[in-house]
Amino acid sequence: MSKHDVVITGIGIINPAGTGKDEFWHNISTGKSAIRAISRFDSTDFPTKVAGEIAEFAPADYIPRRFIVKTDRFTHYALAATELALQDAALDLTQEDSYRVGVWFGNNAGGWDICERGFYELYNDGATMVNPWQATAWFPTAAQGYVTIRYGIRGYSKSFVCDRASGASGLYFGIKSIQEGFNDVVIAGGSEAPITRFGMTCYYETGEVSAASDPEKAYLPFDRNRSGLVLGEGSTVLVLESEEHALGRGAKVYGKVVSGCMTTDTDPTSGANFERCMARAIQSAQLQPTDIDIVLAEGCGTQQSDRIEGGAIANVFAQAPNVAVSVPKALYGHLYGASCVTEVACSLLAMETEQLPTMNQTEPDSDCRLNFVTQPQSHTVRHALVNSRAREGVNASFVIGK
Amino acid sequence: MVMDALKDILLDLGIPEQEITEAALLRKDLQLDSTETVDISLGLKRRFGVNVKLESRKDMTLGDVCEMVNQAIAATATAT
Repeated sequence: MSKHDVVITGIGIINPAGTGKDEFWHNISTGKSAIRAISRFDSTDFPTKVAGEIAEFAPADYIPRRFIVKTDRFTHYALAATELALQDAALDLTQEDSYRVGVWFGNNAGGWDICERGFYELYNDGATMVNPWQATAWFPTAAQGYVTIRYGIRGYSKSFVCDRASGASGLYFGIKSIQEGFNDVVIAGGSEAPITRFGMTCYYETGEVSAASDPEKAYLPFDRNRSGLVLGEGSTVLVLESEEHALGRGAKVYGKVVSGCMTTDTDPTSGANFERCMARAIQSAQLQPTDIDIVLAEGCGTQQSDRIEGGAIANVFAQAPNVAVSVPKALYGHLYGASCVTEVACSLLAMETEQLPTMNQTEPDSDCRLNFVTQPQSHTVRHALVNSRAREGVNASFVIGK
Repeated sequence: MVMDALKDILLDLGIPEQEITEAALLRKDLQLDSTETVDISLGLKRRFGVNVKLESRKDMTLGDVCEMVNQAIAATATAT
């Protein structure tokens, strides 16, 4: 048994589907996709044609110029999402014990904007002319580092690079840091900005990125015609607190992390431990599958991965086969480091508004027969199960409740 | 001329204009960190083609930096 319950008191979202939780949720609950043709670079001769890009973002609205210059786009998003989350939580960190506040982030790609700049400097002007931020701004921990510097945070903090489960890993261990009494407050989340020529080339090499050119049909999780995932960018940050800390300051509580579980399928073509992960998360929450009102699946959109996850969900929910299942990331792209935390935010907003997050699907796959939320739907949500799974079989499942 | 270039570089780094004076010390007044100091060196090299080392133990003013750049330019001119 953990010593401290963990509640969520703030949501900060910088996402292709919207800036701030309200705009984001309006679009996600009504099924408005933010997947578009790539505009950030000329993709004419490029293998991938679509992405979830953030169209309008002015870092100066959130971040001092000295921070902007030294950091990459993914850190800009993280700093902005953190500011929004702290404002939403009405939490003034200057009033907190800085050694009891931690930052737990996920990031998979690092900063490719600054890397491409560094390559140009190196090959055009020589090694002595490479910008001094090449190492520090590229590094995947930069988001955590600059958030801690910006807010004077000194508590137990870490960043995770774990493929599609990067965000889930940061969240899982950030929760533990409160449960085990290391922190009272955790800034949990993640950030990504991989939409550069080089960044997207690296992702394409994984074989998981869709080469489809129609934005409406590129990311179709659990669909018969699925062809992989579409990359997104952005950051989601949640303010986690021990329940006594949140109650002590009279904070508005969105919901509770009821349980979390991580397992690994050492054979990535198997979903046996993914199934165990979901079942254990539900069991340790002292719930039955019938108590779960929505499953937010990983839904990575490859033929094999969705078949594995669809089968695992069907087995876990054998007694509740009509449980609603959705993959909201199909509307904004896979966020890797910010994945899972963004879907946890969706579950909190679903509980608050009694609207379900929607997803794209054109033709159901007979191998994945589940009750997908393909149209806007009103539904009471008592508990949500949020999944994440990395390419090599690292699984995470969280039960979020009121 | 050098001070104008230095001012441009510092403004790009996000240093407020009113703090950029000849008497301002790099570390004590402008609170520049090592990466920002390196960026100033690179900016000066790009504009004037000279190498100036600003990472010395002794803090220096923007006026001192201009002096170093002017000396380096003069030395290059003499050498050629």
